[in-house]
Amino acid sequence: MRRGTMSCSRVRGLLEEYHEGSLPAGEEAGVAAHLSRCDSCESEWRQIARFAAVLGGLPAADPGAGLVGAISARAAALPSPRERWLAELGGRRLAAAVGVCVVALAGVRYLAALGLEPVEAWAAGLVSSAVGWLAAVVSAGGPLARALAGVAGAFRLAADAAAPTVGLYLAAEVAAVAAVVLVLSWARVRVHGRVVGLVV
Amino acid sequence: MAGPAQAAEDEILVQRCLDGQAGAFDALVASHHRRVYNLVYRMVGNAEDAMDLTQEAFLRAYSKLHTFERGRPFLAWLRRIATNLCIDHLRRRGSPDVSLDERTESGAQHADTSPGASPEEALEVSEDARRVLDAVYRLPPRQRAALVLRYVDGMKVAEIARALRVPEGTVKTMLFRGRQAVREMVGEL
Repeated sequence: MRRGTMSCSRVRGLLEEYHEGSLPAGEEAGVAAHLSRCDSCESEWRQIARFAAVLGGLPAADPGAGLVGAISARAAALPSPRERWLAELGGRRLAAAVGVCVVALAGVRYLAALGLEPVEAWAAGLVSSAVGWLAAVVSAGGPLARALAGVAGAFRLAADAAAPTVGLYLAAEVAAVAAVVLVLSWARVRVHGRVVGLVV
Repeated sequence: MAGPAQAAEDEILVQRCLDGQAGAFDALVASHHRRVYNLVYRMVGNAEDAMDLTQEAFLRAYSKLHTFERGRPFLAWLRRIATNLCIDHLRRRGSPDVSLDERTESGAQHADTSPGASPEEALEVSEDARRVLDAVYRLPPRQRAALVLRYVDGMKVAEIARALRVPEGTVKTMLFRGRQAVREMVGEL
């Protein structure tokens, strides 16, 4: 059955949005015009409105005073969101970061074989600092931090053996901090974006 | 607090939570526990289960907060978690809530049994509302969830579709069939 420019089936498909008030003005006017002429659709519309009035008019159920405290107490016993995020970071993502460092070091060794020895010292300082910073951020005081500190120390010895200048050490330190910040920011975006996280 | 202002406040609190600030999650709980409890209570129909499921919804949100998609409304995410917990709970429970049946048969159907409901509030639960509620509690879980989210909580069809992970057309069908089923049980409103 047609009433005006909208069919009954079209109008019935729009009645919930009409009740929400979320229809564009043109469609809203079309539905209103149809309802003013069609008893069947108008009956369906009244049923929706009645449901909303009866159920929407129920008094709000009151949980009482203890609910907030109960939730807070139970949440306090769980790892915090930050700890969970860092735990994820400390797993697959840290492994990825270490992998990148190893590949970078291999590349630098190749450059060193070409006679660019200061680059090797710079790279060893960079890796030492980056691993140290990651240890501090990811697992301060834990066994992972101690293991990473050992790795950082080994690279530091390598850097010392290559006898770099103070300028090279400083450059490595700055680059290490920047690298760690970038890795952490990148990881966080991926955590919330839920997309690239599948790659690692 | 109005919708956009509440959403902005939630965004700040979520960030503080992720930054490890103590008390930020408590503030989120304080802001939303009543609304979530009311939704859950109307979905499962009894106060004890509603208390448990509301706690579970907040704890699940806390555990998954680091995966929360920033820029989305926190309350909608929280309601989706609560709704799915309720649906799972209703499926596990299987049959309609026995205590509701008993309450109706005992003639105490005018009483709103939520823990903090005052006698005045109880009187406000009309005969129509009680009959409709008892019928809603006999619907299949997802159909029941759709009706409660739409007509009790006032969510829009598009929001319900996201919460239940179904197309909007499916939500409209669930609402239509749910209303039809209720009407068959209680007659014309």
